[in-house]
Amino acid sequence: MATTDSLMILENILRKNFTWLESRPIKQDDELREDLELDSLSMVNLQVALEDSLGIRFDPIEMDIFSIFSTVGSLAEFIDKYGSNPSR
Amino acid sequence: MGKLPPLQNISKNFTIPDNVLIQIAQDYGTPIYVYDAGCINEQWKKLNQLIPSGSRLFYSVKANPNIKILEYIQKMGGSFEVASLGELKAVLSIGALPTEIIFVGPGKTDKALMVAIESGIHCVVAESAHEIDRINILASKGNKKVSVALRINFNRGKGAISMGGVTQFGMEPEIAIRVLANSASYKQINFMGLHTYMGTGVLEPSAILNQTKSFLDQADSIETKSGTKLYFLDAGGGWGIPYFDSDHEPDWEQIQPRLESLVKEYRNAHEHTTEIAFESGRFIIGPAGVFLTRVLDVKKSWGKWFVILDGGINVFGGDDQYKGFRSLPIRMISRETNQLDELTLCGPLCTSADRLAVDTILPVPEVGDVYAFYQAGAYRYTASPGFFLSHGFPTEVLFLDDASKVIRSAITVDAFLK
Repeated sequence: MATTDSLMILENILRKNFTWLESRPIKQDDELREDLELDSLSMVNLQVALEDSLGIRFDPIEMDIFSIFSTVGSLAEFIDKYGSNPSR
Repeated sequence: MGKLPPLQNISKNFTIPDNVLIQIAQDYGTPIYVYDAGCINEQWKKLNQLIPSGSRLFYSVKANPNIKILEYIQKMGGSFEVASLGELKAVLSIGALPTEIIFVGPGKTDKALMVAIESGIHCVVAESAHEIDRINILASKGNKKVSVALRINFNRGKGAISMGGVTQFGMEPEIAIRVLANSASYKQINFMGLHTYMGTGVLEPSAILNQTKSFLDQADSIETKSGTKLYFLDAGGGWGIPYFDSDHEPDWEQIQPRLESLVKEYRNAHEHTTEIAFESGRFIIGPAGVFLTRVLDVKKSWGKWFVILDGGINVFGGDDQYKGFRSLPIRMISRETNQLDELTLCGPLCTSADRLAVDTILPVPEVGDVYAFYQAGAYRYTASPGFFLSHGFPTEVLFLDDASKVIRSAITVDAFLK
């Protein structure tokens, strides 16, 4: 279960980067692709925004990017784990 | 919010003036790659100063296998690390001595191995126990002896693209120990040492130092446990170059003294280890290359600028995980203008993924203007999905002694039809 802090960080980044999410409710079990309508380019945009905001790097070889970028909750859990403790 | 292109990432060793680049674009057409021979030379010298004295440096041909570049590197005294039959034939064709060639890669064909064995190259780097059996059988057919090093996978990857960790590369140390302890049963093979490659695009100097230390520690352990002397140790490399706005040029010199003493200590304790080697492709050729592409169209769509270029991901490498969302060192070189805006630079392909820069602050161009993409000498041309949309492959030019020379003609649409 993701913490409220990381959910808020993620929600802010989502609303700031994707105009269609500005005023839409965002729930923890929302799927990024199906519910929030993020396509593959939006996913890369989100990845870069998270990297810059949190000072982390996603490693597409070592990490299961597809699972991490599955739902709002799965991504927030990743932020809980690595957001304040950069992997490198 | 747009990002400025990180022009600080353009190598100081790249010195081709804009007017020369423009002339090359006019003379030979765009898109086009231009390489600065002086920069290759400086990068080569720099890396040779960074690795411990007495070490051998192999150029990783996969980074850029152009024949004329291989010839240039050979003249500087380079040895070659190849990873396919094509690369092996390329270095043999320029007259590289067999003793200057090592052959790595997780999937070597029998045909490629036979060429390596017949040529008597410095060593074949075996990546599995099964491959060692295959090498032994192939060598026995021609009654040849073949030198083999074992690629070790330490599960300690650290780099933009990890080559260690749980990957398809190399073998676990325990397997190497079993093979070496049983070396007498491989009649055709002379086991000469170990190889590793833990990561590429490394921008943390300490990571290079740590991986070298781990490798030497493991080599010592494998030697003791297997009871086999190791004469050749290839510690790989991974020296990265800065590309994106988030990258910084590392201070490589800071680790040089420690790398030097690390290798010296190992050599003192293992006098029979006559050769310690490193590899690099990106560091040597990456900063020397620039990609020039011309503007075909400019439009504003729903409030955003889109610039359509005559070269996109089809000729600029297909392996950029950021898809333009991180800005690269890009300049418009065809004219001066103060009109800056957030631009999205796209290639000519019919896919929205064909973006080389997204919302990047650049001069607003007119049709016909030329952009230069720097740090483009490695893993761009040859990592490109150039058959996609059938636009062809661009010309490559080498700038040497103040003269430009075509070193590979464009592979045109007509060639696709044959």
